[in-house]
Amino acid sequence: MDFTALLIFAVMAFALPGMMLVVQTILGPRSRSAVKDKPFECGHEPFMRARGRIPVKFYQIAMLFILFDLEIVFLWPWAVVLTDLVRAHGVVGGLATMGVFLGLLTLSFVYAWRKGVLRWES
Amino acid sequence: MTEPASLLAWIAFVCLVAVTVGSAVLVVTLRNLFHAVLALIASLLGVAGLYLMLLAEFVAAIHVLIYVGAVATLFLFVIMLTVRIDDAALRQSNRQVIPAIALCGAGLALLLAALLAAPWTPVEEIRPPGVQQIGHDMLTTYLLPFEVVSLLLLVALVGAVTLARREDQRT
Repeated sequence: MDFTALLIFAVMAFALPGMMLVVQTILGPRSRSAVKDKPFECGHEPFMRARGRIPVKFYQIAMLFILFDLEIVFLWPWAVVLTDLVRAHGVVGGLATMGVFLGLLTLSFVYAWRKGVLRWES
Repeated sequence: MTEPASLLAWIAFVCLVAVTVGSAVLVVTLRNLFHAVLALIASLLGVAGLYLMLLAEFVAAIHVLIYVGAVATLFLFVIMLTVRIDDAALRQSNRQVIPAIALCGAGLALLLAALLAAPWTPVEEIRPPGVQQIGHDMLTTYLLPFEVVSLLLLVALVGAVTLARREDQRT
C-alpha cells in the first residue's frame, strides 16, 4: 500500500499555515497601540472574555455530532463495496442494507428534534 | 535495516513515536487544561500515524475522524463549559505521586511481559484487511450486528439527550 499522497498532503497541511505564520512575522507591519491589541470583534467593543464559559447548549450539539460522526464510520465501507452489493443482491438489496441503518438513525434524529435539542432558545 | 525503504520506515516510526509520546507527556504536565487537550490531539494524530504504519488505513482514518475530530472537540467543550476554567492553571501533581508511579510501573511491567512473550509477525505477512474487505464482511457475514449498531446509536442518543436536558434544567 502506498501512502505517498497522504504524506504529501500531511506535509502541505503543516507547511502551508506554518509558512503563513513565518511570512507574516517577517513581512507584516508592526504598529502597536491599545486599539490594535484588542481582539477583533468586527468593530464592536468586546463585551466578554473570549475564554469565558460557553452555554451548555453547545455540549448537546457536540454530543449529537459525535453520534452522527460515527455514522460516517459505517457509511464509508458501505460506499466502497456498494457496486459489489448491487451486483450480488440488486439495487434494492444493496440500498436496503444501509436503508435500515440510516432509517433507525433518522428515527433518533427525529427524537432529538422533537425533544427540542436543536432549538436554541428555551 | 540496510534497505533504504526500511530505514525510511524507521525514521517515520521514530518521528511518530516522538510526537505521540512527547505530546502525551505534555498532556499530563501542561498546567493549562485547554493546552493539554491540544497536546492530546497531537498525540492522537501520532497514534493514527502508527496505525497507518501497520497498514490499517481504515482504523487510522476512523481514529482521526472520531477521536481527533469529535471526542477532542467534546473535551474542549467540557473545559469551556466548566466554571472558573479560564484561570485554571492547575498543579499537575499531588501527594499520590508515589502510589501512581508504583501502579504505572506495575502496569508497564505487565505490558512488557506480555509484549516480550508474544510472537511477532511482520505486518507485510499478515496483510491487514482493507476498507473493501471490511465493508464486504460488514454487509454480508456481520450484517445483523451492523444493523444492531444503529439501534445502539439510537439508545446512546436518547441517553445523551435525557442526561443533557436534566443538566439543562438544573442550571
